[in-house]
Amino acid sequence: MDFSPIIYVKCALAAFTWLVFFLLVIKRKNIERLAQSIHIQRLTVELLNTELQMKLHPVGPERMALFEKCDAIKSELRTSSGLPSHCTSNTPNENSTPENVVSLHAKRLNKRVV
Amino acid sequence: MEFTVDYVLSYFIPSVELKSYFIILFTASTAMLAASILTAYRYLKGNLPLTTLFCTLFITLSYMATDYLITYMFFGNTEELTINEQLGFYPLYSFFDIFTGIALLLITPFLSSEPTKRIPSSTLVAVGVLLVNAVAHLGYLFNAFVSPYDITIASIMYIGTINITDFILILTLFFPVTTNRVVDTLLEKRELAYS
Repeated sequence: MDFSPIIYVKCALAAFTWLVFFLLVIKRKNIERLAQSIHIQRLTVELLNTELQMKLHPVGPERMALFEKCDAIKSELRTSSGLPSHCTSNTPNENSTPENVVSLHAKRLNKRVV
Repeated sequence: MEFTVDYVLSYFIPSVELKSYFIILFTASTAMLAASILTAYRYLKGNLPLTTLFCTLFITLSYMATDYLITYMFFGNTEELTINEQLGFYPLYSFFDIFTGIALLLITPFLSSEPTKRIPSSTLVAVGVLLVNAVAHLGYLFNAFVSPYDITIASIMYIGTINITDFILILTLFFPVTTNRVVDTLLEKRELAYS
């Protein structure tokens, strides 16, 4: 049976578009990451603008409201970027100092003895 | 006996004389329309996110457009369509499914209110169904190119696949929260099994 060449072209185009669709399904995490990064960028700009406005105001209820807004944006930013909402990375960790390690001073003393 | 065979085949072979094909087609569309109305109501009540509403509405619109094309193909023209004209519609069905899926994949993360911008599992199921449907249309067309005089088995496989996937899609549209929970649980179990 003779088919029109237009159908072959349509079929080829549809197959190519299906491949693109399949590729997008496989790479869907990249689309999610792109959306996430755009969201984080928007939040960062908003945070900077709010902080700038906050510093222009004198101490008072308006500045307090802006400060709370900054806190809310920071919290959302931490959640969006995968960090915990109460990040304690700057605070010293009590368990980080091991007890059973010889101090450098003691090691030097030992060397002198030897 | 012949009536029975014809009646059974009528569920699988698209033709004007055998109306069962159209009954299934329009039942699916009507169910999707009902799912859209229910989803809109639940969204307005605040039970569902915007991404679910967008997914349901977009898929329903796409399916109704495809149904319009199918109806036009069989009933719109007074003259009988040639085989080239009939087969020319199948890439269009495929295009409808593909563009619907691409739109869902590209728009849903930006509409999501979650901080992680994750595509919901129900949307992923719908996208998977559209992926299978699109390749089924193309497979049917390819079979028509290869063996144009023997399409019964291909029709049964094609319409059977479309009916099963449409049934899954309708279930997904009606119960998005349950689908999310089931798919997430299954994926978690799989990850645990491999870890």
